[in-house]
Parts: sequence; structure tokens; C-alpha cells
Amino acid sequence: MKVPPDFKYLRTYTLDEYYEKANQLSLPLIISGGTVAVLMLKNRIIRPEAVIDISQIPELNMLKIDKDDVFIGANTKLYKLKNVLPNDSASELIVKSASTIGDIAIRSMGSVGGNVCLGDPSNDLPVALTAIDAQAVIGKKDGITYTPITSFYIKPFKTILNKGEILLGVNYKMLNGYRTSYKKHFINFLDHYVGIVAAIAKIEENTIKDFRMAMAGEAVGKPVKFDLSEFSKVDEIKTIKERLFDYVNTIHVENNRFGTANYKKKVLYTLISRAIDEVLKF
Amino acid sequence: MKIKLNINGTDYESEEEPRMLLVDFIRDVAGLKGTHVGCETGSCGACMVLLDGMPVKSCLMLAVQAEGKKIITIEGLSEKNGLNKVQKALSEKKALQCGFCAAGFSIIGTWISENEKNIDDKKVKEGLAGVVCRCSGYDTIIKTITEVAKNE
Ligand SMILES: Cc1cc2nc3c(=O)[nH]c(=O)nc-3n(C[C@H](O)[C@H](O)[C@H](O)COP(=O)(O)OP(=O)(O)OC[C@H]3O[C@@H](n4cnc5c(N)ncnc54)[C@H](O)[C@@H]3O)c2cc1C
Ligand code: FES
Ligand code: FES
Repeated sequence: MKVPPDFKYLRTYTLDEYYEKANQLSLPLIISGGTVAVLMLKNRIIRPEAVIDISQIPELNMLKIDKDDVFIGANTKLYKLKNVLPNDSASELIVKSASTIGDIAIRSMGSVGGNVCLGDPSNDLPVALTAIDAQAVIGKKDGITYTPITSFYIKPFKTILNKGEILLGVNYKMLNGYRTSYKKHFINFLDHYVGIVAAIAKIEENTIKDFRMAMAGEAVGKPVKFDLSEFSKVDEIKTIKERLFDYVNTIHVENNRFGTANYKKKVLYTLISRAIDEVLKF
Repeated sequence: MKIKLNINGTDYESEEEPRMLLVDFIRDVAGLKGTHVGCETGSCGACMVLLDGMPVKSCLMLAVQAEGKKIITIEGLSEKNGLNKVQKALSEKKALQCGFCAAGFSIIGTWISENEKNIDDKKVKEGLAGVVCRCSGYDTIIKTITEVAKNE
């Protein structure tokens, strides 16, 4: 039986209470749903002085829709997204991504904040959020900052969050009339994804008006973003695919227990190809 | 610290360390041994319970996180006059063999039949994805739960 190490447990009910406690402690661990935090504790990957439970802080449980601006509070449970988000295409991509996470029990425990903050390249939401140019809303004692999701990750398992800071939620603009596609390839041990691809595109009168794609996964590392501006003179799908395949060829992919570099690159070509065929077919 | 939980309608209050897992509270404090411990990593579903009506894996949760919530275990699914519809069907169709996975399939099967609409095989398979059975080959389990859920 795996038992976590001893720790102090602090339940916080307000953000101020969180900031006060988090700044006093040298090594606190935030816990929201706990699906990863409890696992890390049980495996003694971390031995925090205290676990700070943020699940009762009302600001983190909010969903705000203001014109075309959507804010999803960090504690929002993954299973809830499909019922609470608006009907636009950006939200559709988030729902597609969230619905592939674990199983219903994991989605009913796991939160948006936990999915975004771990920084595991296998996490789903960061890829969808990168594709739609979402922002991380970060809270600290002296105010709130907004950071593009693309700048939120420093490297695998490392985000820009500093001691005493917290992810309040994510924020994005609704997009209407887009097509969306979400693809990932699972490696059946250790719950790892070789590659994850999210794509969103707008096509009008046989012209690509907007095309954004993000990828991550074990082969890629932290999420990377592409948009149509990189293909300014290109309106052929074949060329877009080739450019993305070229990108895959430039990244350093390791041979390891998840597969050979060659295999992982082929997985990425396939995911990219399928996602593009779905969103850019005329 | 004092941990207060309501399990199957009964209040339990006990002085425990915050590191105690929910599954250990259920088994060792409440003495309800129908919730099993398998993989301990959230993959097998042997420890599945309902928490405020939603399925959760109790090996991935601290007991203190469930403070003030209502928990239903496999024992709590049973009705006054015996097993509930899903449990009865799993038993009658001999869908399970050793029964180690019974808590997972009974809990999630009941949740699917009470909450999912327009039931089909695909929905049931998706719902059951978080529970592992090492004996049965799944076929009868899927058919049995689909049948019960369609008749709800
Ligand atoms: C069996 C299994 C299958 C899974 N499958 C998938 C999958 O397919 N795809 C996927 O993406 N993930 C998967 N996960 C991982 C996990 O369940 C999800 O990422 C989930 O969203 C985590 O949310 P949580 O609330 O449980 O996080 P927690 O465990 O509470 O926290 C996770 C991390 O984020 C930090 N954190 C949480 N909230 C905040 C915040 N507001 N501000 C700052 N830091 C914060 C915590 O300190 C911790 O380091 C799986 C996990 C399991 C056990
Ligand atoms: S013991 Fe909890 S999921 Fe396997
Ligand atoms: S019947 Fe033995 S594990 Fe399912």
C-alpha cells in the first residue's frame, strides 16, 4: 500500500488566505482535484511541508462570459466543460480536448487548473488552449497578470508560476464559424501521449481565412503554435502539410522507452495530416 | 485532524492524519470492504465510489478532500430488498468471475444507467473505460450494462 509522506493540510477559503499561507511556507503543494498531486505524494516524488487545498476558493470555481470573452476558473471540473461552455468553435475545441482526458471518474475529479499547471507534455488542455491563443490568468498578492499560454511553459514540468502565485483560470476569445480537429496518439504504458495535435480553421469562399495549429506530446515537449501568417503565400494544403512536416524534422526527438525517434515522427506526420484534412478540406 | 464523512447515509467522524486516502477511510474506518484497492494509480477502477453523485477513484483522493461530502460505495447501491438493477443483472448474467472489479462496474454501471441519455454500446464502452477486469473479457459486462441502461 502506497502511503503519502506526512504533511500539514491547509484548506483555504479565499485568495487572500491562499496568498498569506503560500508566502509563509517554504515548500507548499497546491491541490485542486488531486488526481496528479495525490499520485505524486503517494509515489513520494514530492515531500511538501504543507498541502494547500484551493478547491473551496469561489473565484477559482467561476465561469465568466462577457461578450466574446470567456474566463474558465481553474477549479472547474473537466467533465463540466461540455455543459457550461458557449457554443462557439474555440469552446468546441476545448470540449473535444477535455473529453479525451482519462475516463469519466478522472474528469469528474480533475480540474482545468491541474491540467494546465502540471506542465506535462502529455496534458491535453494546453494544446487546445495554445491553438486558440488563450491566456493564463495568474494571481499574486499584488495583482493579476495575463500571459499567453505559449509563454506559460518554460520546459516540460516547469511553468512560469513563482512561489505564492496561483493560476486563477484561463481566458480566451470566442471564435465563430471555424472547423476544429483534435488528435492524439496514446502509448499504452505510463499514460503517455507520443503526440497531440489541435487545429482550428476558418474557410470562406474556398479561401483559408484563418488556420491555427498547436502540438505537444512526449515527442514535441511543451506546446508549440503555428498560424496562417507563417504560410502567408501558401494556400495549398499540401504545402501547409509539408511545412509542418519540415518543422517536425527540425525538432529533436529522442529514442526512448516510448518509441524510436523515427516512429514518433511518423506518428506526428499522421496526426498533423489527419487534423489538416479535417479542418482544411474544401 | 478530525475527518467527517457521510458514507451510504451514515455519518463517520474520526481523528486521522491528513495523508489518509479516501479508500483507506472507507475500508478501515467505515469497515466497508467492498471498495477494493488494485493499481493505486487511478487506472483500474477497483476503488470507484460516487462522491456527491459523481464517480471518483478513491485511491487518488485524500479522505480530508471529501470532508462534508456524500459518498456511496458498492454496499450503498443495494436497495432494501437486495441488489440494485445493475448488480442483479451482472450477477444473473454471470458477467463477472472473481469479482475483484465488481465495485467499479457496479458503481459506474449504475451511474451510466441513471445519468446518460440515448444509451448505445459506444457510450457504455466510453463510460466503462476507467475500470479494468482481468478475468472476463468485458463482452458480457458491456452487454449487461447496456441492456440495463437502455431499460432505465
Ligand atoms: C488514470 C489517469 C489518466 C489520466 N489521463 C489524462 C489524459 O488523458 N490527459 C491529460 O491531460 N491528463 C490526464 N491525467 C492527468 C490529470 O488527471 C489531469 O491533468 C487533471 O486535469 C489534473 O487536475 P487535478 O485537479 O486533479 O490536479 P491536481 O492533482 O490537484 O494538481 C496537479 C498539479 O497542478 C498544480 N495546480 C493545480 N491547480 C493549480 C492552480 N490553480 N494554480 C497553480 N497550480 C495548480 C498542483 O500543485 C499539481 O502540481 C490522468 C490522470 C490519471 C490518474
Ligand atoms: S486502485 Fe484506484 S484506480 Fe486502481
Ligand atoms: S471478474 Fe475478476 S477482475 Fe473482473
